[in-house]
Amino acid sequence: MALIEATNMAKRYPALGGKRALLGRGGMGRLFRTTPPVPMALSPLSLTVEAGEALGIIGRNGSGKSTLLKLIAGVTAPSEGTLKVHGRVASLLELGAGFHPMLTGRENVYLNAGLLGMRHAQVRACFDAIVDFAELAEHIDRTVDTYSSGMFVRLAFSVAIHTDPDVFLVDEVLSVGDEAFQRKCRARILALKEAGKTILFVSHDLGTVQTLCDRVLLLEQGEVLSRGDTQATIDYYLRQIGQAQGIHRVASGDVEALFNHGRLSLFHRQREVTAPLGLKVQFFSMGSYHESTSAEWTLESPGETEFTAVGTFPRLPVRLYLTVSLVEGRLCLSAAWENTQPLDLSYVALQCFLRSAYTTWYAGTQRGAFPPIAPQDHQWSTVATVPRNTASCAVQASADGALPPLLLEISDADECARFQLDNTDYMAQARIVHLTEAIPTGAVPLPPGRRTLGTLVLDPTCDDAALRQVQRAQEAAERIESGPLMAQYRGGALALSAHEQLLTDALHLHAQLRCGALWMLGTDFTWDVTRETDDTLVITGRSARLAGSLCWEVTAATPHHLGLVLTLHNEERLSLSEYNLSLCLEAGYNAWQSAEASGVFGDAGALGTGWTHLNPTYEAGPYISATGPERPKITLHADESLGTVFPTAIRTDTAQDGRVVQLLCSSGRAGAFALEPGAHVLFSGRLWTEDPTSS
Amino acid sequence: MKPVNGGATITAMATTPSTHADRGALLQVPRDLLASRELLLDLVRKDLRVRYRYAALGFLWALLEPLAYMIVLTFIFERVLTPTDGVPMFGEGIPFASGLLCGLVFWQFSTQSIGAATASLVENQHLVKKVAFTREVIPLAAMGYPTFSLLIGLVVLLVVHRVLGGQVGSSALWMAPLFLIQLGITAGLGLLTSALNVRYRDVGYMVTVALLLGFYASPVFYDLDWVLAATSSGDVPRAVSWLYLTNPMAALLEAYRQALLEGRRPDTWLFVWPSVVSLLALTGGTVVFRRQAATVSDYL
Repeated sequence: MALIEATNMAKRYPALGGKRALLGRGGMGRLFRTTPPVPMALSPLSLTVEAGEALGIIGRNGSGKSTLLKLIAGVTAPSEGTLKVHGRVASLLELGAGFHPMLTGRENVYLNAGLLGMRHAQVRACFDAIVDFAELAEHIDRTVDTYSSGMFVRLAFSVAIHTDPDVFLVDEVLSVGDEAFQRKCRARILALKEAGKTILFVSHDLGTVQTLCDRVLLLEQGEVLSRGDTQATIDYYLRQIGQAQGIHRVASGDVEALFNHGRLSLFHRQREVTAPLGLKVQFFSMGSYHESTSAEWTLESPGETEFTAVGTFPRLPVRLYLTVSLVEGRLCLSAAWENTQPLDLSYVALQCFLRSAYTTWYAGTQRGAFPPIAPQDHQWSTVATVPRNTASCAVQASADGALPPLLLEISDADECARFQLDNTDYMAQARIVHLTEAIPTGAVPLPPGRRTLGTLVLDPTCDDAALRQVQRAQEAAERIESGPLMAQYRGGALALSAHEQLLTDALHLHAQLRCGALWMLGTDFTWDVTRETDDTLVITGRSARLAGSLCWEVTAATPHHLGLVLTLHNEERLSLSEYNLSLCLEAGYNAWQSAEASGVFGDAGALGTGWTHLNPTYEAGPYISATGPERPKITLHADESLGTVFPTAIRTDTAQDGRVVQLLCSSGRAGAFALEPGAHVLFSGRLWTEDPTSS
Repeated sequence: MKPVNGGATITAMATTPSTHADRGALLQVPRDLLASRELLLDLVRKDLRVRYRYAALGFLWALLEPLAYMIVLTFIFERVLTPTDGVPMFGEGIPFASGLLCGLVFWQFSTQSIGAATASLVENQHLVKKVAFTREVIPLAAMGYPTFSLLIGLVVLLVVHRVLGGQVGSSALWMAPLFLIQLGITAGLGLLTSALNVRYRDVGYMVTVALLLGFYASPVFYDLDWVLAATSSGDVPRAVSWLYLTNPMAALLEAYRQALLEGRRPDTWLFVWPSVVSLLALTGGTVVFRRQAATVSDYL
């Protein structure tokens, strides 16, 4: 059913000014009228909006978006044509209409809801829900002039959203309140959409338009320029309108970049690589977040392939400098910032929003898939942290080939800056690559000065081979060799190989800790790899679940031998019930041996599901080794100083078909190892291989 | 899916924003107003609360205001401008204070109402420009405070009347139909001027001047009988007298005095013309207002 039907609807506002309007009516008017007739605010337009549809309306300021919404809201009437609106319309255009500062929150709720067309009985029925949503339970009987602006807006939004109309008109209201409340609002609007409400959405936040809307209407000077498919219309808008707005564009070959009010969009073969939010700078100062998109920008030396833009903030002594150059399809963006007065500023970030069609990421030696962004994702979530000694990462889109693989490199960044890959919330629907610098702020504000945030290079012209090249180069820095034996850091574990033949599988050599009932796998940690000397690799891992860090020290000793020390630095008292070092072996290994027992791994099918411990009894012993035809014998040996260690051999289930040998330390019946804050050596020992020919 | 209204049951909405309604249908106006009655009362309540919330004496001011007005005017007319021929200003046995107050409270009601209504749309443009609702509510809500002061004023009037030795008889009930007539005139003019004021802000100034003129051209601080007597004695030309009587407030104020202070049924001729004006004003005001209502926000 069509809820909104407009037929040749047009709007022309009257010329303002009493004198002109008065004279314009009579004969004298013709003599005195000098002003030209007012242009159409909205040219004749026919539009049908079906129930349950989400229509986005985009366009520049003054393009007629607000007029269209006002007409549909019934605030004004069309001057030509007809408009039929079935059902009730609630406008979130102007929050808090009728709110009076001298009335209490409760009185204002009734008044505001009344203006939006609700009866007292209806307000009473959902009053608690309104107050709950606004999180104002204790303040509802205080006058509104005691509210903070955030509280005011929360209450207003809450009333508007509880009026339960058929059609919602939403105009930029998503930029109200603090971050958390914004997310809540977005989630609520999304819920409305999914509940089958009709939504007309006006926004400059193209990312949200893209996620929320089924169709988009592009208005320009009161005329419909384009309507239909969301992505196509947004692309058109950014390229055509954005350009006409005097915004700077640089191009080189297939690649072009568009700078639009503090936001840089990157296009490859006329397709936007960045998400509509583009590349921007964000910082936190004086209690709130500020974005480069809200600065006033001036261009210095705009050229064909390069330019510098300086952004100033009307009420903050901050200047942002963005230098962009495009050389052979590589976009280089240098960001710097300057505070001209001492300032409380605690965080600066360069954020690059990429299209959610990018599904695979490469960061250092790691690679993975971006998790899909689900409607219940109201927050950003970290996907991967790029290790500090790596300066590059890359993303790749799924196979349809429409989006090029993108290589991102960081240089000149501060030592403390973090390079990270995130998923956004559902509404923004993007992948973010960001360089974040947290600035430690004490009681002293940051002294004035210009600081470099870093340089980000985006290369959409690289091919898949180049992506792997990045990975290879990185691998070299994260490996250690001891004769033919080589350990390669791989996502929280060490992959072992001898004579270029991989000996381990799946989780390779990794550590597992058990705190209470919780198993923590080394591969769940976020690791940093540093090379102390040519012969020593130090790998430090952190996890949100552990107050402290886990540190591997891998040293190359005599050929074929690697020294392994695993240290836990805990900042709080910790009870560990068990921990082990596990070696997941490659499928060629078929037998195991410890000081007390030996056995074969056997056929997984005979064992059924579940992990099966192969040792008949648990006897303490210092080592466990594994052998296989044509395979070097591999031995994991604990130092005597370590105390009681149990060697174990495990066959995993049929699906994984894994062979695992491990050395484990268990607190047994004692319950747990109580570890006081400090450094604790969990394991020290050696790992060596013996080539099959030499044995 | 969780219900959007947080689980509350909401009955069907009856409110239709006036701007979507057929513009011509005059009968739609009372229907819309009936549906918006709670909003109307909320707006009036807001106006009253806001007016007195931060005043130390609070609602007491509603009482003090007409009292102070009466004392000042009584002092001026009885002590400063003492009538030279010794004839009482109002009828035999009616104290000046009672006569004055009787005219004053009803006159003030119309003046305050029309004045407030005229400016109401412009003053409430933050609402009109943003939300669609029955527009008539705005000028009518502006009449809320004058109505409230009228009630207070009436109490003061009754007390003063009794204290100065007057009687209150059953004829006082005539004040009710008289007030309905006055209300029609006031609301009709208020709607008209508020709609016109949006397009031509000159209207606001014209209304102020007209009301000031009306104060002297209505028997507020003198008796209508004076004018009639002066006409029959030839001191005032007949044409001027007719012109004077086109002001419906002239007859109405006289009728109020007869009903309350003289304790008799008001003369019939005093009803007729105000009733006609009341109907015309109410119809005209409503039609003009409704015609402007849909696009009123364009001029704000």
